[in-house]
This record gives sequence, structure tokens and C-alpha cells, in this order.
Amino acid sequence: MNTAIDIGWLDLALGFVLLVIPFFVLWYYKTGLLKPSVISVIRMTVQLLAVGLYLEYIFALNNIWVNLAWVLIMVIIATVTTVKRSNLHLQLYLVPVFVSLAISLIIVDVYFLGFVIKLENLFEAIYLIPITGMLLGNCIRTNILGLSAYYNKLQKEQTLYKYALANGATKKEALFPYMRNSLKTSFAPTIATMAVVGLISLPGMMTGQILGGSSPTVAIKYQIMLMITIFVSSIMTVVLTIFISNRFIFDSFHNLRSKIIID
Amino acid sequence: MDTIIKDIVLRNISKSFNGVKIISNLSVEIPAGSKAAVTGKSGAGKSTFVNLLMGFILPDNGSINLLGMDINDKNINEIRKNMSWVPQELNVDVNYVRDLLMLPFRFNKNKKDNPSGEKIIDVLDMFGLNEDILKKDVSDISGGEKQRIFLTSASLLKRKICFLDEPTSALDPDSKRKVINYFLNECASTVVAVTHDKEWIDNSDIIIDLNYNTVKRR
Repeated sequence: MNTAIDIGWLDLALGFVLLVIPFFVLWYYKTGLLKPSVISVIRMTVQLLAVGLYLEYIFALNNIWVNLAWVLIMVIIATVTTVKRSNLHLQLYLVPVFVSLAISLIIVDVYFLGFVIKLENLFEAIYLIPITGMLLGNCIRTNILGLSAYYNKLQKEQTLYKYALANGATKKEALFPYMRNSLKTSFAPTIATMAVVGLISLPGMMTGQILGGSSPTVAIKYQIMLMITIFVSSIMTVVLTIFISNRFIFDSFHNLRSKIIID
Repeated sequence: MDTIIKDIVLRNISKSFNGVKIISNLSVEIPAGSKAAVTGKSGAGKSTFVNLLMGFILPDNGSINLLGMDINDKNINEIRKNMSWVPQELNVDVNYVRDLLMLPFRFNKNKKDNPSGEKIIDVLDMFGLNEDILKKDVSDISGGEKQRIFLTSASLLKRKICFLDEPTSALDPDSKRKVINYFLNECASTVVAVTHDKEWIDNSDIIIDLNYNTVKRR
């Protein structure tokens, strides 16, 4: 099979013309989103160009320590992004989110790359980095949804939490509705997406693989595994982050220590 | 020798928030089974007082003893197992009134005390509610009915100490009389109620007036 046709730099610039449509809509309706979206597009472009150049180098080098260092940087950036976008205090949540992401990724990466794909070298750059990147991207999304839902509800519905504690519930029982709400909020979109994959959407990785020259059969196998690993790593990250942070956001009387959400 | 069992003993309790003293050097003894009314104007510290007793706020000074145990992080779970609390207002994400009423009985500690259908109907009747209310959607009942549902749960739990926050605030005069009669005359628990209701205050054994930091006994 042929690899994808390269896009010339001028042609790529031509692709940016499409952005006139969303920019116009956002400007016309005075959403205040024009400036942030321009900044986001610039950031996305610069970041991807930089990553593209860096990945070319990193794939050619394929050194285990460089690969691991790159993954570590990705996890740190994902951690900071998750905590900031969830409006949580960075000092409080940096460690729980980082540890949860790291544990989830280690388990899922080792299982997928080692047992499913059966790579001889688990740290092979062309597998480890893109797959970890896709897992992380999705973990960030679900983690932000899950953590925001959990801590917002917990802070707003303190009376319900106290009602449960004062009427015989253990801390775990009193926190149960908040955990349920968090999981429902963060995973309903993932579950809905999984149900329609292939029918109304062709996922990015599969499309990329087909364009890159893989057969559709190989591409769908990777896509199926990716959907599963995204689901598993995301749910592990949300649950682990909440479990770890629960250990220190409450005092020894099970009372919420102070404000956990930044207004 | 004082042989009366005290369910609640506060010694020289003080509590400040942001430098403002809300409760100052308050001492109270509430004997087992007696009924205490906590009163005072808004901001006088009524909620703080009840939150201190439930271990949701810790005092700056003094000690709090419930059921012979000084409140600390070792025995707070044991103390809370012996209490029930009805807040003034509570929104719970459940569909039916039965789920609202049975909420505390979903907790492991209370499962063995799961009340029979007959017992539930008796208590509902005592508070002027019909059993049909259990099948209703929570959004279809009034504030007063909801308040009586929470009071029904508390009375079915039969705890040694019962904390009530403005228990008659949403009730009509007839329902109010029924609730007052149960909690002040029939109920065996020690009852501590935050209230502005004159009838409730007048019929309580102990009146803790946080406007003046005084404790009166009848």
C-alpha cells in the first residue's frame, strides 16, 4: 500500500483558510471566543510543528531513556492541564493526578504493548509515544470532567454529605453519590462514542493508519484496542485520583478541609 | 453525687470565624432524654453550635462530650452512629419519596433497623402524612411534606441523640403541633433543636439562647 500524499507547506496554509468560517461565527455572535480560538489554533500549530520535528528525531534515535523522558514530560503537562482546567488547587492535586495518570498508563501500556501487540521492546518510540499520547489526551478529557463533577458537587452539596455522616453512613458511603455522579458525567460521552464508532465516525488513529498505508483490517484492530485502552486508563485515572485525594482533602473527622475548588 | 446521665456535656466552648467570636465560653449539660431548644438571632451561632456537637466544626477551646465520650477523631464514628440529624433543607437526587425516606437505611449501619411497612405508615400517620405519598415524585411534594419525610426517617432511626434544624419552619399549624408533640413528648431520644418556634421553645426542658449565651432550665 502507498503512504499518504504529503501536504505541501503552501497547501497546508491553504487549509487554514477554512478557519474563516468558525472565526466569523464566533465574532458575529460576540461570544468572546474569537481571541482564545485564534490563540488555540496558533498554539496547536506551533506545538504540532515542534512535536513533528522532535518526533522525527526521537523515532530515529529510539533510545529508551529519551522515550521515557518524553513520556514523563507528556504526563507532567497532562497533570498540570488537568488540575488547572478542573479549577482545583495545583499544590493539592499535582501529586494525586500525576500518580494516577502514571499508574494507569504503566498498567495499560504494559498490557497493550507487551501482551497484546507483543513488542520485544516495550519502549519502542513509534508505538510507546503515539499510543501513550492518545491515552493521555483522552485521560485529560475524562479526568477534567470527572474531577470537576466530583469536587463541584461535593463542595456545593456539603449538607447532603454531612446528612449521610450524621445518620450512620461511613465516609465511603457518604461519598458514594459523588463518585457515581463523577463517573456518570465523565464516562457517558465515552460510552456513547464507543457505541457509534464506525457508524457515524471514523476515529483519528484508524484514519491516520489507513492514510499511512495500513490495511483497514489492521487499522480497525488497533482502533478497537485503542478504544478499550482509552476506556480502561481513563476510568482508572479518575477513580485513582479521587481515591488518593480523598485521603488528604478531609480532616480526621471526615470534614472537607477547606475550599478545594478555585472560584 | 450526680447520678443523672448526661448525653451531652459542653465545657467552656468557644468558636471564632475570621477573628469574630461566634460562641464564647459556653457550658451546657443536657441529660439523657431531655429536649433542648437552641435559639438566637441570625448569625448568633445556632448552626455552629449543632455542627460542633456533630463534630463537623471543631471548637477553638473547651471540650465536648457526647454519650460519655469526648469528641475526638478516634471516636467520632462511634458517636455519629448514635445520632441522627435533620437539616432545615436538603436536596437529594432521588426520584420517589420512598427513596428519600429510606435514604439513611441504605447505609450498612442502619440496614438491620430497616423499618417494616406498617411501622413506616404509623410514623407517617403520626406526622399527618398518608402512605400514598411514598409513591409520589419528590418534585411533586411540598416543602412541609418533605420536611416531615426527613423527620419520619429520623424518628424511625431511633437514635440516642437527635439533632433537628428548624424542624417546623415549613409546617402548617396542625402538622407543627403533631411534630412538636412527638419530638418533645413521645420521643425517647435526647433532642436538640435549632428553632425560632415559640411553642417548641416554651415546651423544651432546656433553652440555650445564643443571643445572650445563657442556658435556662424549666
